[in-house]
Amino acid sequence: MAWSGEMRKGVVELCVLALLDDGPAYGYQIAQRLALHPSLSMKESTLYLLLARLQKEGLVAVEMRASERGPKRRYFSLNADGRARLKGMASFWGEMREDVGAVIGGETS
Amino acid sequence: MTFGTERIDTAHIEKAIAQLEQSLRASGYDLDEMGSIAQGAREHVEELIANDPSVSESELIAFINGFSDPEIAASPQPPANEHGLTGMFALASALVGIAIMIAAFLSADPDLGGALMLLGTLLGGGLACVLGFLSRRSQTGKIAIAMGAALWLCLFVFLAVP
Repeated sequence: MAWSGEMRKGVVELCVLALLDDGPAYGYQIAQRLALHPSLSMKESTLYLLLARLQKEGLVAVEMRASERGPKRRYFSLNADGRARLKGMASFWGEMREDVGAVIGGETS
Repeated sequence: MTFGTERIDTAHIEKAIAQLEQSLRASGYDLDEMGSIAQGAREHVEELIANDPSVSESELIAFINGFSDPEIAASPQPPANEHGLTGMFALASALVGIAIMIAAFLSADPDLGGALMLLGTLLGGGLACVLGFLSRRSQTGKIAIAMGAALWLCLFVFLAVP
């Protein structure tokens, strides 16, 4: 459904930043973690575009690491600017969630 | 690359990734975006093979093809008229150059005419070409380049004619 994709786009950056706040992760790992939550599951290509944009904006650092099994992996980690962005986005999301809930619930202020 | 296995032909995977890159380019993604997606596709293919050695080549190719349609639109390319102001300056420079050239032709004094011709070409033609090149994506920029080049051509023709 096109509208669900549109709605997801707005919050997926917040979710990826939040996942990276738990520690460095590589693309496949992030995709797997997001896939655990069906409403957040997105195309892998979308995830890589988003990671590239976060890197371009200086919010995440990238490091190549060897793995015990499988190929070398590109690990993404949150830097200070990324954490600040996450804090701002999380705060705004909280306000938005309350406001949307109020509107949907028919409450008036 | 670690794609190659007994059942998976590296060349087929590379071909699928090359086709993915072409498709992304055609959809308006720039080189950085295209590179990130293609690199992501490679990484995922490697992970899929590492996690499931029984994965088939056709499954991997179908997976790579799925990368060709991201849910996030390509970064907007600068519109053609973004450099409109620079293009206008380029065009204005070319017109000033032409005016100086006309004055040079009409001048009765050959020394003054020569100096004006040089000035018109260097100042008008030169600026028109430089600014036109900077704004080459706009229509005015293209026209300015043509006019600037014409001014230079005029100078060379007059220098060549004894």
